[in-house]
Amino acid sequence: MASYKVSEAGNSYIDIYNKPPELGASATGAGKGGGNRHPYVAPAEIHMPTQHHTFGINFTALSEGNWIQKALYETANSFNIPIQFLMFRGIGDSSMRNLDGTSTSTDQGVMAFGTLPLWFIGGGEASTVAAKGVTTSDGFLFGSIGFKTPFDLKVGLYASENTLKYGSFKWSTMTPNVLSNTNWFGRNMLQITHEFQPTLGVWNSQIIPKGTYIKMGLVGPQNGGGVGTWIQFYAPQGVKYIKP
Amino acid sequence: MSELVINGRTISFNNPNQIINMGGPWVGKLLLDDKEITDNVVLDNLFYNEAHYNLFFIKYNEISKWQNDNYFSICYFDLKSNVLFTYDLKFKQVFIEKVKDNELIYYEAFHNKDESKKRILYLNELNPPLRKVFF
Repeated sequence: MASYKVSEAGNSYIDIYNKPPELGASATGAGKGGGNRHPYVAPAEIHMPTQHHTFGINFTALSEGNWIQKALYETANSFNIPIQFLMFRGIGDSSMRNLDGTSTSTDQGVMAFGTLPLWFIGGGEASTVAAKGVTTSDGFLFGSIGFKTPFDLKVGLYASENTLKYGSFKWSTMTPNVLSNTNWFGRNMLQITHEFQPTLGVWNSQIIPKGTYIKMGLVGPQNGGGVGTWIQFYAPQGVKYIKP
Repeated sequence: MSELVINGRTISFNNPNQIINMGGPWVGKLLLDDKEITDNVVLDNLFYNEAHYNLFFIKYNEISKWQNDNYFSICYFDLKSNVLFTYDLKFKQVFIEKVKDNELIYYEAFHNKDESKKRILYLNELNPPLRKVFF
């Protein structure tokens, strides 16, 4: 009958994996201190990913949501990257971070910088030149994607006198209050020029009901408008405006 | 929407719609005694010229999917002959403040709150109309 001799080292290795792990053992501990230290991180040490919030929005959750939420996240992140660049953060040394806390990849950096000239390089002149051909008749930069909202969508808008008078709205956006409470946001990012409204209307939240056909895209530049763009929604049939 | 009654004839709007972008102007169908004169007329910017029995207003001409191709024009409706006239001038933004004799005072904006945008159009110096669209 054949017999097998197992080496001392082999036995030790098998022992380590067959015995229950010690609590508090770390991955790097296996083999170092001998005994039955488990090479895997004990469940008690597994941490949930840190949830990264900016302006009150959980960007970690947004980046892992459905395709609409991911699109919102990518749009917001494309604005975040150039800001970090101006803070002397780089992609190569991993100091540049996405809004969900992950490192910015080269591809993400390139995509974000593609939008950079459209929102803050070149000043008003570039915006005016751009306005000559890139804004669609429904106010989008280059175009938009249309779909029926799969859920009630909480949006915000500057309600003009006529919005209040006629009780409906077509254009809206999503943004934290810290931005919407500034004139700068309406004038630049939403392109509500002085020629449109001498003073901005009151900002308030509204709901676009589930199943409403909407278009989503970036705000198109207007003649005489500021420099900037932001995500916006357009409901061609209009949405009932509920007085807050 | 406000109504205007001229010699027993009622001018009104229906189907109000916002155009261009958030904060943009509103347009609707212009009706005379519930019959459509024309569509895409800027709401509540109507002026009745009593001397000539004309009704001045602004029309939005959406001819393309690109905003730069679209424009506003100044029109008037002759209440005697029921004919619509359109001046052959294109505006990106316009708001009529007043029509007096042969002067049309307007702003290159959607409101009259910025004096630097104020302009005067001398109607008798313009090439005679224009295009006619029969009502």
